[in-house]
Amino acid sequence: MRTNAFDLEKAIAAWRNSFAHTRSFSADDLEELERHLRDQTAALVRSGLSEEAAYRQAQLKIGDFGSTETEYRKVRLGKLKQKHILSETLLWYQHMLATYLKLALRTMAKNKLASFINLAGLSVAIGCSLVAFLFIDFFYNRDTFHENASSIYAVHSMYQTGNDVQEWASSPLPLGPMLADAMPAITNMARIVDGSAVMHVGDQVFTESIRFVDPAFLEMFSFPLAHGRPSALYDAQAIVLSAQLAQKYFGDTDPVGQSIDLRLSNGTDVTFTVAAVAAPFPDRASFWFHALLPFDQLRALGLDFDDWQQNTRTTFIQVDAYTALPEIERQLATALPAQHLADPDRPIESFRLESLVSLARKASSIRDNITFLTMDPAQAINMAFSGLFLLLLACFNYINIAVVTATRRLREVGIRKVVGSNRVQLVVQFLGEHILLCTFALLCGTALGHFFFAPGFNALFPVFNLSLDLTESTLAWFYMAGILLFTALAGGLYPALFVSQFRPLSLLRNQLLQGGKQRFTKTLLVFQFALAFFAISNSFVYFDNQEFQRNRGWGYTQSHRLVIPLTDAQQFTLLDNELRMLPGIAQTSGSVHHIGRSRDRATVTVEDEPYEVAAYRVGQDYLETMAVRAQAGRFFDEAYPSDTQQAVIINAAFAKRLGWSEPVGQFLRIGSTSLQVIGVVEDFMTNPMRASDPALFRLAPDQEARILLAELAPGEALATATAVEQIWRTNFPDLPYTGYFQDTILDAFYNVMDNLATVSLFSSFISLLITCMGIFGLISLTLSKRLKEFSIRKVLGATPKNILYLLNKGFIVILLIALFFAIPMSYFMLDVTMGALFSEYTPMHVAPFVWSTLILIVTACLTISSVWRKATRTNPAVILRQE
Amino acid sequence: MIGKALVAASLKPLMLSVLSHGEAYGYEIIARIEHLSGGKLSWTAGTLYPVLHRLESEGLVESFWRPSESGPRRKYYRLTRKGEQALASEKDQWMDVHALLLKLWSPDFSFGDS
Repeated sequence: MRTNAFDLEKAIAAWRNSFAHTRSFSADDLEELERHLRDQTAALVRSGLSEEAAYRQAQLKIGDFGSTETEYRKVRLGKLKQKHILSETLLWYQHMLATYLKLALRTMAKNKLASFINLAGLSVAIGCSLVAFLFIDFFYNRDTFHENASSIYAVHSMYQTGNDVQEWASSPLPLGPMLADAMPAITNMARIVDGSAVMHVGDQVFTESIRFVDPAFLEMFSFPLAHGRPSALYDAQAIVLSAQLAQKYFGDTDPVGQSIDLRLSNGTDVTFTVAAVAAPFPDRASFWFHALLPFDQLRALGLDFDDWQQNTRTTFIQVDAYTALPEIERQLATALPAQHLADPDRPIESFRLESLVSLARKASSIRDNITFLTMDPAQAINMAFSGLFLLLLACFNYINIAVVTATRRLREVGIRKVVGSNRVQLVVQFLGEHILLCTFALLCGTALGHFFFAPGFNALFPVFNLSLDLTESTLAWFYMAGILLFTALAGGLYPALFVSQFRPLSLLRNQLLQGGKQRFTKTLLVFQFALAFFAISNSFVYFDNQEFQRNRGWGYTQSHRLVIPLTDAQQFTLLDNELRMLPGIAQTSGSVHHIGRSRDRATVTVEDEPYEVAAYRVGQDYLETMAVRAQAGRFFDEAYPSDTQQAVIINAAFAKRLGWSEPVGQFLRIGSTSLQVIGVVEDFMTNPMRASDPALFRLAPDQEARILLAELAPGEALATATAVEQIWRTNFPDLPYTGYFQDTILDAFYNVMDNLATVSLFSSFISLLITCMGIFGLISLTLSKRLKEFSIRKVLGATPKNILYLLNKGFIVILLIALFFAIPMSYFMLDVTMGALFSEYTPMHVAPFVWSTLILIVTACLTISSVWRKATRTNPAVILRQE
Repeated sequence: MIGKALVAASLKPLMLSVLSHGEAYGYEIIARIEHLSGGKLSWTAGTLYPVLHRLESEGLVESFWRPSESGPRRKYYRLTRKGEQALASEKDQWMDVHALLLKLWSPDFSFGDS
């Protein structure tokens, strides 16, 4: 017998062993399978095979181990898995997240400097961008507190002037009622006409602005009332006060039912009863009122309600269905002929409905709008850019520092990869760390913005009350989430992708630790330097321009000119006579309109071409007293009696518009009156932001004077002004004195401009700070990587200078590249923005750019040398002995 | 030979049908199917048993051990009440498909008829 004869029992036992090592088969399963194998073998033996061949074939028929095991496992473990999979996975995730969190916190703690720089830079940038967001949000979402905001429309008039169409907030007086009568879809209508009146309460006398409104005004708009009801204005003798005015006249007592005496613009005295008092107006109100009077009072003032030539300040309608708008627009068009007939010189091209919701947003392109604080879209874009700009700067910083920090963790990444992390997991882990840091930064930044930056901004610009209200504004939540996403992704995605891309072997072999060319990091640095340069040069140019604006000529002499507004015509002769006797008064003049205070508009026709111009009606000596500069011809003169009716003086802008090289002697027409140009004056400034409007002056008799202009002798101006006030008080004890110096009229404007310059200085400081922190962080990290190298160099005899050169080399080259791009870009951008903001602005000097360059280079060098000292002071022996 | 997809699809109805003729053990089921199909359908143990076990866990069949004269004991399977119902439903579905195929394959069939 051969000893290696086939033994079925042994073969089966071996087979069984090979199956038993996995948990996929239970003992029962194996027993069943074994019996199957035996049956199969027996059947094959019966069919004539040898025992060994039969067994081999039977084994084959059972199937290969792999697929059999898989099938068994599916059935056996299926149920088990389903039950536990969820909780088990959650448990794993919990462990994983906890580990990630621990790792993140440890990494942050280990790189204290880098974490701090990232956190601080991001927080400051987020805080600043929050202010920008609040600012833009403030302008874009106003008036929405009115419950009917979405169904209220303002009716605006479109005028064709030259080639462009102007939108005016006004519309003809009879239009509102006509529309409301014709269209049932219009549920309410309110017109606004502005005026002023002298208000007497007890011994208090002040001139106050008055808004005449239709009685439905308070019902259409939801101005919250402190006392009284929205129906208050239906009473013809009612007056509604703002909270501020009620406080001024009545203190904290409820003034409803109290009487107020008003001297209206026609000189009559009327007594009104306080019917309601508004609560302080919401911050988001784009327009409001000081005092409201019923519209019908205008009739008493001689206004003809059927006169299509008369205009309201603006007209609002409330519409019950959006679908009625096209029908209303058709109805509006039918009103045009009546207006054209009444005012052929100033025909309205068409009417336009402007929703209350978007009214304030579009105010900068609407003439004579009622919006308080209009904002040019350019300003909003500017603000948005500043916010984004700082965020970008901080993100660039972040990316750079994060990449360098991450390269220190390449070994960790290598180990994780070897142990089985896939790329997605690594990216998630790294991004998670960034999200954690960004969340911290978001919290800190929001706190900074809310508690410091926004209040600071409000202090600079008291008309604003920017504050973050997360309970009110869902937009703010979106904004915060957006910022988190933006900073985390913008700052974290690249580093995460960067570190996860390498092959573990090269990571562990240390091939990448010394870094490649870091092209990305360097590009970002170029951007960072360029942005910082732009911010710095921006604030230099701002301050330069500020100086320029202050010293820029106004086109007339603004100093020592006292302006005394008059309430009626009789006052002029009386005051004028008394003032002339004062020794400190050099010259006086009466005037209807006054530069920087009031003006009319006129449609001038020259050769059948209409021109829209500002029209001033002035007294005989007005132009001399104001010292407006003559360019050609002469001023008004008593020697020419024809001046009173037929003479006109135009400004240079108008002459240019008309294309006249020799304007004196030319004729132009206003309505049916033909006028001859007797003089041309230089352009004078009314708004420093805009180029001079075309303007003309006509003579007005002293009996119509609304202001008295006095030129004071230099040296005793203040004393004279006090004397003038005294004269007023003696003559008109019951009228308020409202005189002012002409050179103060732009104070508010300059103040705002100063504050804007402060804001730009602040933002350039912040961007410089962020950039410095960035360089500092980056170079510290570089240094720590190259400390050994430097130590060896030192041992071999390198001087501190050599090391400074090595440290600086890269950065200075980058800085120079950045400057190469930044200087022309900044020059161009600033020229464009200044040109958009001001009609005349400071000529672009070299100085701001030289200064900015110096500041940037010096701060960069200072930052670098602070690190350099560390490098030179360390003992090379200590460093080299490590590891 | 029969395609893989059809083998997989027919596993359950075939097993239930074999068991509807009385209890059987795994090898017996494979042998009967192989015999009946004339060798066209031949299951491996690795395919059969997991499916049987799944049917058991679904409650369509039940199993029990029975001693054997020709060697160690065998595990037998039989249809439960629930299994009978499942088979009836399977039968309907197969017959529907079958009837459809017959109709489509009949020589004088055309879509214009009905």
